[in-house]
Amino acid sequence: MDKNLQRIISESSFESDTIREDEGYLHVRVSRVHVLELLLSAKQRFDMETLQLISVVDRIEDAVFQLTWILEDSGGTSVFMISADYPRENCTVPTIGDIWPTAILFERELHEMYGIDFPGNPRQNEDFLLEDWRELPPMRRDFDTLEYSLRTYGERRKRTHTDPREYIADSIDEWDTPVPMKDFER
Amino acid sequence: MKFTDIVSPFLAWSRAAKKADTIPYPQKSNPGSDRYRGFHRNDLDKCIGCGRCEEICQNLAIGMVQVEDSQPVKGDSGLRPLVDYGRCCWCALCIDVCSTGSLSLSNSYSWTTYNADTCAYIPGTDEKAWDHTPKGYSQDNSILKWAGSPRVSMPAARPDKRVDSFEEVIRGYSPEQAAIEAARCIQCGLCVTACPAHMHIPEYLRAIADGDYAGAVKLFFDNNPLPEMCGKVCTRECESVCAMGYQGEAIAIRWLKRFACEQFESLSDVLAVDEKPLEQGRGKVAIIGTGPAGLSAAYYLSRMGFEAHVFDKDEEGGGVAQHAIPEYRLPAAGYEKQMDVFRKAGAHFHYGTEVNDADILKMSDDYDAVFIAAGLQKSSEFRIPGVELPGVKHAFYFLMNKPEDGSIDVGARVLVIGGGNVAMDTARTCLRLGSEVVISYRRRIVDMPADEEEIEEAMEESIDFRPQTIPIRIEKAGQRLKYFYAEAEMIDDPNGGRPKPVRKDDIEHGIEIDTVFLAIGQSSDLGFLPEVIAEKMTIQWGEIEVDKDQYTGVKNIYAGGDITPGAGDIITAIADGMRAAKAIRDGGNLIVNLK
Repeated sequence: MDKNLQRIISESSFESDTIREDEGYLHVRVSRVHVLELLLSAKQRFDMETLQLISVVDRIEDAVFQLTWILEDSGGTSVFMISADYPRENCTVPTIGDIWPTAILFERELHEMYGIDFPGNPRQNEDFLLEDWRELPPMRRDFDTLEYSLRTYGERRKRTHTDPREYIADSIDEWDTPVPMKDFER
Repeated sequence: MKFTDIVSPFLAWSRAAKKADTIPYPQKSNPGSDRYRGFHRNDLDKCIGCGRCEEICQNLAIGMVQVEDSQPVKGDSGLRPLVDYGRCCWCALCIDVCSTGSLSLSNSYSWTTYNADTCAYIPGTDEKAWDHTPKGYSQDNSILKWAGSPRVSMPAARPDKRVDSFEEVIRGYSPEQAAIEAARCIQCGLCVTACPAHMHIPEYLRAIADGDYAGAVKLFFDNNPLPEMCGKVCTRECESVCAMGYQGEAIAIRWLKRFACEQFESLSDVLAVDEKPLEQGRGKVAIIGTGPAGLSAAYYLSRMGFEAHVFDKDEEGGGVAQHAIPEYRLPAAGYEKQMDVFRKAGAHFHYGTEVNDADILKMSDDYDAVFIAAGLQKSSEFRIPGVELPGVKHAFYFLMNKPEDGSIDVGARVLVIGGGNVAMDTARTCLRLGSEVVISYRRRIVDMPADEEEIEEAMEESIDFRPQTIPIRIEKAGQRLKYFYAEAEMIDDPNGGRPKPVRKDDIEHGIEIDTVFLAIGQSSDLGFLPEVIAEKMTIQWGEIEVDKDQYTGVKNIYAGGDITPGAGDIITAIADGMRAAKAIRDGGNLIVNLK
């Protein structure tokens, strides 16, 4: 594994769990209080120049959002990923827009899609993709897409549907059995 | 007029040579990326209409619909998915779960229509410009490939241990294993199209998954009164069309049926069959043979209030299915449990009663209907020099005599000629009796008519398979026999039939053996049919032709099982018996008195 990548965590003052490592690739999980420190040191001391993406997984079962920051070095040869869990309820994550300006856009998207608050991000309340959205943020797993689409768009077009199981049974007269077990409720 | 009004038109011309800032017209296409999730495509040759795409769709964008007047056929429901793009959110879950991989997304994303209601179509059936584009999202290029779970493997005795005894090879599922396996079913019902008896498979699998074993057993008896036997040795056509079997493994439908039956000491208690039949005094039916077809007809007729009399020349009854299948596949201990159901259902059994032509004539007078299910009783003859030598035997008669007790001495080395189930059963039985076994078959192993599983198990048990060997003769060699064969090569049939084995060279190979078993097929013995009846029937290759109601064309006389043309397996015979019972109930051909 890349020595440079290894040093990012070995020279830090706090603990981290390695999720996956490979040639030119390291993915660690840290406590959320250390995220900013690790991101800063990765950029300033270890050449992790580019912020590729910030991703979110809605782990609704654990009541957390798992955020992952994906960084790449200036040569494009190694990738460093930092994951941390944040409570799902009123989720607040510090902005890193002043470290990587591109984060302002990424965080704006996450604010719209998951409702995560990035205090300090000057543009997070501007619409990203959705216009005038007043519902639960749509990428949250508790957002019911079917309910929303039925409520908003209605039965625009009558849906036709045939159940394969019933269609087969009807066509071969399957339930015409000589002695159906009537006491069995099906 | 201002000065700029005069100059502006000329200033505009100064831009003539520069690149336009506006959107170009006509618009140029901007194709989606290689794995873009665009409009659906469906390969109709692969789609089986299982409805798994519809089931997974979170937005009800997919509905299974009839395509023209398509009907269900074996392994295909005839339905196809219709996608509504007013609902589709392009998540591609339908692609990930597609049973056959027929559904995919093209990388086309642009479609203009003046009516929003027409923005839906049946992929594959309604022709679209993107039907044949190579790019897009499919199981071939997705990371997941296909979303399905593996089959719960069946515990079985180890090959090196099981050959020492006739103990059953299959051990059976535990309740936990059965629940996991049954829950894999997606309830599409394709299996029902393949089962000759049209058993209610999705319903009983769900009952087993829910732990309602009695409910499952009751569902079995709707179309099959021999579920335990089928749970052990059925040919399981159902599993061959299972939607889960295309990219994973079919649901173990047979093993689950066996599991549910094994949960009860007595099946008649579950069914409460000893209560009085549903309707009394509907008429008398004579049934010839106590194999699966005869028993099936007897059960349903008795339960419907008919007086069913079953005749069998054997003292025990049970037919070839019960007696010729060795102990390690179908233990005889289960026979009583099964017969208990028929007796309590009210069927009358007359064992040790051989029926001759005069009896049949009398029966057609005395009974309201006769159902002939006499099966195949003769082992086919095989003509090579030396078959008359002592030590050359018919495998079928050998199996029927229950050789498991070791009363028949087969010697140290046995040769079985043939590649069907009788050949496999004989070979594996002799192996368990302590002999070394060789199987000689004219064609390749893939051409063998025996169940794949039986061939596999026989190979595991280290039986010496000699495929593509043509028998030449058998000679006496001291106390033993010598079998001569030639090697064959497969020649393709120009007429499209299966390849034929043709002798490769003049070399004769010989092996010394103690006993030769001939297992090249069985045939019927129609000697008991009176001439006046036989001549009115259509009989071909020793089999009685019947219509879809098992009716022979002779008043009041029905036939089923191996004596009629068909697949020749247990479940087909059971279905025959049930169909005959239904036809007798409906009385279409019931005109009392033949003469």
